[in-house]
Amino acid sequence: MAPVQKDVLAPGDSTVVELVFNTNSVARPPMNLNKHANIMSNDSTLAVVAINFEGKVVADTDTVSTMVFGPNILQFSPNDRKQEIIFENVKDSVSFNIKLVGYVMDDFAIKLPGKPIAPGKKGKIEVEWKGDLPEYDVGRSLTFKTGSKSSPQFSAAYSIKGAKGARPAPPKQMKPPQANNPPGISNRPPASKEAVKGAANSWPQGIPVKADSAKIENPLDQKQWPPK
Amino acid sequence: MKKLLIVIALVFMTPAFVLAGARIQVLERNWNFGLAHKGGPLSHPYWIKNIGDDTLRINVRPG
Repeated sequence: MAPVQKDVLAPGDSTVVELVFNTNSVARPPMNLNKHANIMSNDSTLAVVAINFEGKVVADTDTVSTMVFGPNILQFSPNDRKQEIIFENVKDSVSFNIKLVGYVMDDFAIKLPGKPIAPGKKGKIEVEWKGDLPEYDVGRSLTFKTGSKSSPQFSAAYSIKGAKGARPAPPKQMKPPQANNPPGISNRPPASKEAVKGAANSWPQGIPVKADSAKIENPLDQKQWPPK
Repeated sequence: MKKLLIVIALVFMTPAFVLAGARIQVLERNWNFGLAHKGGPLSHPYWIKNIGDDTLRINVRPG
Protein backbone atom coordinates (compact mmCIF):
# COMPACT_ATOMS: atom_id res chain seq x y z
CA MET A 1 0.00 0.00 0.00
CA ALA A 2 1.36 3.41 -0.92
CA PRO A 3 2.18 5.77 1.91
CA VAL A 4 -0.93 7.63 2.99
CA GLN A 5 -0.69 11.38 2.80
CA LYS A 6 -2.28 13.44 5.50
CA ASP A 7 -5.23 14.38 3.37
CA VAL A 8 -5.56 10.99 1.70
CA LEU A 9 -6.95 8.18 3.80
CA ALA A 10 -6.88 4.54 2.85
CA PRO A 11 -9.88 2.44 3.91
CA GLY A 12 -9.88 2.16 7.69
CA ASP A 13 -7.39 5.00 8.20
CA SER A 14 -8.09 8.04 10.32
CA THR A 15 -6.73 11.53 10.73
CA VAL A 16 -7.42 14.72 12.63
CA VAL A 17 -8.62 18.10 11.46
CA GLU A 18 -7.83 20.78 13.99
CA LEU A 19 -9.63 24.09 14.14
CA VAL A 20 -7.59 26.88 15.68
CA PHE A 21 -8.83 30.29 16.72
CA ASN A 22 -6.64 33.11 17.96
CA THR A 23 -8.51 34.97 20.69
CA ASN A 24 -6.33 38.04 20.18
CA SER A 25 -8.57 38.88 17.26
CA VAL A 26 -11.48 39.45 19.63
CA ALA A 27 -11.58 43.23 19.92
CA ARG A 28 -13.99 43.70 22.79
CA PRO A 29 -14.76 40.72 25.00
CA PRO A 30 -17.04 39.29 26.17
CA MET A 31 -17.94 37.91 22.80
CA ASN A 32 -19.69 34.74 21.74
CA LEU A 33 -17.83 32.95 19.01
CA ASN A 34 -19.17 30.57 16.45
CA LYS A 35 -16.68 29.40 13.88
CA HIS A 36 -16.99 26.61 11.42
CA ALA A 37 -15.08 24.87 8.70
CA ASN A 38 -16.09 22.57 5.92
CA ILE A 39 -14.46 19.22 5.35
CA MET A 40 -14.84 18.43 1.69
CA SER A 41 -14.27 14.92 0.43
CA ASN A 42 -14.87 12.49 -2.38
CA ASP A 43 -17.52 10.66 -0.36
CA SER A 44 -20.37 10.64 -2.85
CA THR A 45 -22.94 10.47 -0.05
CA LEU A 46 -21.45 13.21 2.13
CA ALA A 47 -19.28 15.54 0.08
CA VAL A 48 -19.26 18.36 2.66
CA VAL A 49 -19.24 18.00 6.44
CA ALA A 50 -19.47 21.15 8.55
CA ILE A 51 -17.59 21.17 11.83
CA ASN A 52 -18.41 23.81 14.41
CA PHE A 53 -16.50 25.49 17.19
CA GLU A 54 -18.19 27.80 19.66
CA GLY A 55 -17.89 29.39 23.05
CA LYS A 56 -17.39 32.71 24.80
CA VAL A 57 -14.23 34.79 25.04
CA VAL A 58 -14.18 36.88 28.20
CA ALA A 59 -11.95 39.64 29.50
CA ASP A 60 -9.59 39.28 32.47
CA THR A 61 -11.95 41.51 34.38
CA ASP A 62 -15.00 39.36 33.68
CA THR A 63 -17.45 39.62 36.56
CA VAL A 64 -20.47 38.08 34.88
CA SER A 65 -19.43 34.44 34.74
CA THR A 66 -19.77 32.25 37.79
CA MET A 67 -16.10 31.31 37.59
CA VAL A 68 -12.76 33.00 36.99
CA PHE A 69 -9.53 31.34 36.01
CA GLY A 70 -6.03 32.13 34.90
CA PRO A 71 -3.47 32.64 33.60
CA ASN A 72 -4.60 33.66 30.13
CA ILE A 73 -2.07 31.34 28.58
CA LEU A 74 0.18 28.59 29.89
CA GLN A 75 3.66 28.93 28.44
CA PHE A 76 5.78 25.79 28.29
CA SER A 77 9.39 25.35 27.28
CA PRO A 78 12.08 22.75 28.02
CA ASN A 79 13.06 24.82 31.04
CA ASP A 80 9.51 25.49 32.17
CA ARG A 81 7.50 22.29 32.02
CA LYS A 82 5.12 22.76 34.93
CA GLN A 83 2.28 25.26 34.98
CA GLU A 84 -0.84 25.74 37.06
CA ILE A 85 -4.35 26.84 36.24
CA ILE A 86 -5.95 28.56 39.19
CA PHE A 87 -9.73 28.86 39.08
CA GLU A 88 -12.36 30.09 41.46
CA ASN A 89 -15.96 29.12 41.87
CA VAL A 90 -17.02 32.72 42.36
CA LYS A 91 -20.73 32.54 42.69
CA ASP A 92 -22.07 29.34 41.25
CA SER A 93 -24.85 27.48 43.01
CA VAL A 94 -23.05 24.15 42.85
CA SER A 95 -19.57 22.82 43.51
CA PHE A 96 -17.27 22.41 40.52
CA ASN A 97 -16.25 18.86 39.73
CA ILE A 98 -13.44 19.44 37.26
CA LYS A 99 -12.79 16.96 34.44
CA LEU A 100 -10.69 17.16 31.31
CA VAL A 101 -12.70 16.83 28.11
CA GLY A 102 -11.69 16.34 24.51
CA TYR A 103 -8.61 14.80 23.01
CA VAL A 104 -5.27 16.32 24.08
CA MET A 105 -2.90 16.65 21.15
CA ASP A 106 0.28 17.12 23.18
CA ASP A 107 1.93 15.02 25.85
CA PHE A 108 0.78 16.31 29.23
CA ALA A 109 0.35 14.94 32.72
CA ILE A 110 -2.64 16.75 34.18
CA LYS A 111 -3.51 16.64 37.85
CA LEU A 112 -7.06 17.70 38.64
CA PRO A 113 -8.37 18.84 42.02
CA GLY A 114 -8.99 15.86 44.25
CA LYS A 115 -12.31 17.15 45.50
CA PRO A 116 -15.20 19.35 44.28
CA ILE A 117 -14.64 23.09 44.54
CA ALA A 118 -17.43 24.67 46.54
CA PRO A 119 -18.89 28.12 45.81
CA GLY A 120 -16.46 30.79 46.95
CA LYS A 121 -13.47 28.44 46.88
CA LYS A 122 -10.45 28.20 44.61
CA GLY A 123 -9.01 25.16 42.90
CA LYS A 124 -5.81 24.25 41.10
CA ILE A 125 -5.05 22.19 38.00
CA GLU A 126 -1.43 21.15 37.59
CA VAL A 127 -0.26 20.72 34.02
CA GLU A 128 3.10 19.19 33.21
CA TRP A 129 4.36 19.07 29.66
CA LYS A 130 6.20 15.78 29.13
CA GLY A 131 6.73 15.91 25.39
CA ASP A 132 9.79 16.36 23.23
CA LEU A 133 10.85 19.75 21.96
CA PRO A 134 8.72 20.54 18.91
CA GLU A 135 10.34 21.93 15.79
CA TYR A 136 8.12 25.00 15.76
CA ASP A 137 6.04 26.78 18.39
CA VAL A 138 2.78 25.08 19.30
CA GLY A 139 -0.42 26.87 20.34
CA ARG A 140 -3.48 24.96 21.49
CA SER A 141 -5.90 24.75 24.39
CA LEU A 142 -7.15 22.37 27.06
CA THR A 143 -10.86 22.20 27.86
CA PHE A 144 -12.31 21.28 31.23
CA LYS A 145 -15.86 20.77 32.33
CA THR A 146 -17.10 21.89 35.70
CA GLY A 147 -20.42 20.12 36.17
CA SER A 148 -22.11 23.50 36.53
CA LYS A 149 -24.96 24.67 34.34
CA SER A 150 -23.88 28.30 34.52
CA SER A 151 -20.26 27.75 33.47
CA PRO A 152 -20.22 24.20 32.13
CA GLN A 153 -16.82 24.36 30.41
CA PHE A 154 -13.74 26.51 30.20
CA SER A 155 -10.63 26.37 28.07
CA ALA A 156 -7.07 27.29 28.98
CA ALA A 157 -4.78 28.26 26.12
CA TYR A 158 -1.19 27.05 26.07
CA SER A 159 1.91 27.49 24.02
CA ILE A 160 5.00 25.30 23.72
CA LYS A 161 8.20 26.95 22.63
CA GLY A 162 9.65 25.21 19.59
CA ALA A 163 13.31 24.79 18.66
CA LYS A 164 13.01 27.06 15.64
CA GLY A 165 10.50 29.55 17.00
CA ALA A 166 7.36 30.45 15.09
CA ARG A 167 6.53 28.43 12.02
CA PRO A 168 7.61 30.46 8.99
CA ALA A 169 4.91 31.70 6.69
CA PRO A 170 4.80 29.81 3.42
CA PRO A 171 5.65 31.64 0.20
CA LYS A 172 2.86 33.86 -1.05
CA GLN A 173 3.00 32.65 -4.62
CA MET A 174 2.04 29.05 -4.95
CA LYS A 175 0.46 26.68 -7.35
CA PRO A 176 -1.67 23.92 -5.85
CA PRO A 177 -1.35 20.46 -7.36
CA GLN A 178 -3.50 19.74 -10.36
CA ALA A 179 -4.30 16.13 -9.71
CA ASN A 180 -6.04 13.93 -7.18
CA ASN A 181 -8.48 16.47 -5.85
CA PRO A 182 -11.88 15.16 -4.81
CA PRO A 183 -14.70 15.84 -7.24
CA GLY A 184 -15.98 19.34 -6.80
CA ILE A 185 -12.89 20.55 -4.97
CA SER A 186 -11.10 23.27 -6.78
CA ASN A 187 -7.35 23.57 -7.07
CA ARG A 188 -7.60 27.23 -6.23
CA PRO A 189 -6.71 28.43 -2.74
CA PRO A 190 -9.64 29.22 -0.47
CA ALA A 191 -11.43 32.38 -1.39
CA SER A 192 -12.08 33.13 2.25
CA LYS A 193 -9.99 35.76 3.98
CA GLU A 194 -9.17 33.08 6.48
CA ALA A 195 -6.61 30.80 5.01
CA VAL A 196 -5.77 27.26 5.85
CA LYS A 197 -3.04 27.05 8.46
CA GLY A 198 -0.58 24.27 7.92
CA ALA A 199 -1.80 24.00 4.40
CA ALA A 200 1.54 22.47 3.62
CA ASN A 201 -0.22 19.40 4.95
CA SER A 202 -2.68 19.38 2.09
CA TRP A 203 -0.98 21.46 -0.55
CA PRO A 204 2.78 21.17 -0.29
CA GLN A 205 3.29 24.47 -2.07
CA GLY A 206 1.67 26.24 0.86
CA ILE A 207 -1.10 28.73 1.32
CA PRO A 208 -0.90 31.98 3.30
CA VAL A 209 -1.20 31.22 6.96
CA LYS A 210 -3.38 33.02 9.44
CA ALA A 211 -3.97 32.20 13.04
CA ASP A 212 -7.69 31.68 12.65
CA SER A 213 -7.57 28.48 10.77
CA ALA A 214 -8.18 24.84 10.17
CA LYS A 215 -5.55 22.26 9.45
CA ILE A 216 -5.17 18.57 8.89
CA GLU A 217 -2.90 17.02 11.47
CA ASN A 218 -0.73 13.97 11.23
CA PRO A 219 -2.63 10.72 11.23
CA LEU A 220 -2.44 9.48 14.77
CA ASP A 221 -1.92 5.99 16.05
CA GLN A 222 -4.67 3.89 14.50
CA LYS A 223 -5.04 1.99 17.75
CA GLN A 224 -6.37 5.17 19.26
CA TRP A 225 -9.58 4.96 17.23
CA PRO A 226 -12.09 5.77 18.51
CA PRO A 227 -10.34 8.47 20.54
CA LYS A 228 -11.13 8.54 24.22
CA MET B 1 -38.61 -20.06 -2.40
CA LYS B 2 -37.34 -17.84 -5.18
CA LYS B 3 -38.45 -14.75 -3.25
CA LEU B 4 -36.63 -15.98 -0.19
CA LEU B 5 -33.45 -16.42 -2.17
CA ILE B 6 -33.80 -12.92 -3.56
CA VAL B 7 -34.25 -11.51 -0.09
CA ILE B 8 -31.21 -13.39 1.21
CA ALA B 9 -29.17 -12.19 -1.75
CA LEU B 10 -30.21 -8.60 -1.09
CA VAL B 11 -29.28 -8.88 2.57
CA PHE B 12 -25.79 -10.07 1.67
CA MET B 13 -25.37 -7.44 -1.02
CA THR B 14 -26.44 -4.51 1.15
CA PRO B 15 -23.21 -4.09 3.19
CA ALA B 16 -21.16 -4.07 0.04
CA PHE B 17 -23.42 -1.46 -1.44
CA VAL B 18 -23.26 0.70 1.67
CA LEU B 19 -19.47 0.58 1.86
CA ALA B 20 -18.86 1.07 -1.84
CA GLY B 21 -16.50 3.95 -2.42
CA ALA B 22 -14.92 6.33 0.05
CA ARG B 23 -17.00 7.06 3.12
CA ILE B 24 -16.20 9.76 5.65
CA GLN B 25 -16.99 9.46 9.35
CA VAL B 26 -16.56 12.49 11.59
CA LEU B 27 -16.92 11.45 15.21
CA GLU B 28 -17.96 14.79 16.61
CA ARG B 29 -18.98 17.79 14.57
CA ASN B 30 -19.67 20.38 17.26
CA TRP B 31 -17.37 21.56 20.00
CA ASN B 32 -18.07 24.06 22.74
CA PHE B 33 -14.91 25.41 24.39
CA GLY B 34 -16.95 27.19 27.04
CA LEU B 35 -15.27 30.21 28.57
CA ALA B 36 -11.85 31.33 27.41
CA HIS B 37 -9.67 34.36 27.95
CA LYS B 38 -8.52 36.67 25.24
CA GLY B 39 -4.83 36.26 24.60
CA GLY B 40 -4.15 32.75 23.41
CA PRO B 41 -5.10 30.12 20.87
CA LEU B 42 -8.15 27.91 21.15
CA SER B 43 -8.16 24.64 19.32
CA HIS B 44 -10.02 21.41 18.92
CA PRO B 45 -9.21 18.25 16.99
CA TYR B 46 -11.96 16.60 14.95
CA TRP B 47 -11.39 12.94 14.19
CA ILE B 48 -12.06 11.65 10.72
CA LYS B 49 -12.08 8.07 9.52
CA ASN B 50 -12.50 6.46 6.15
CA ILE B 51 -15.12 3.77 6.74
CA GLY B 52 -15.49 3.03 3.05
CA ASP B 53 -13.61 0.66 0.79
CA ASP B 54 -11.90 3.22 -1.43
CA THR B 55 -9.37 5.99 -0.81
CA LEU B 56 -10.82 9.05 0.89
CA ARG B 57 -9.47 12.46 -0.08
CA ILE B 58 -10.25 15.40 2.14
CA ASN B 59 -9.75 19.13 2.05
CA VAL B 60 -10.60 21.60 4.79
CA ARG B 61 -11.76 25.18 4.41
CA PRO B 62 -12.40 27.56 7.29
CA GLY B 63 -15.88 29.01 7.14
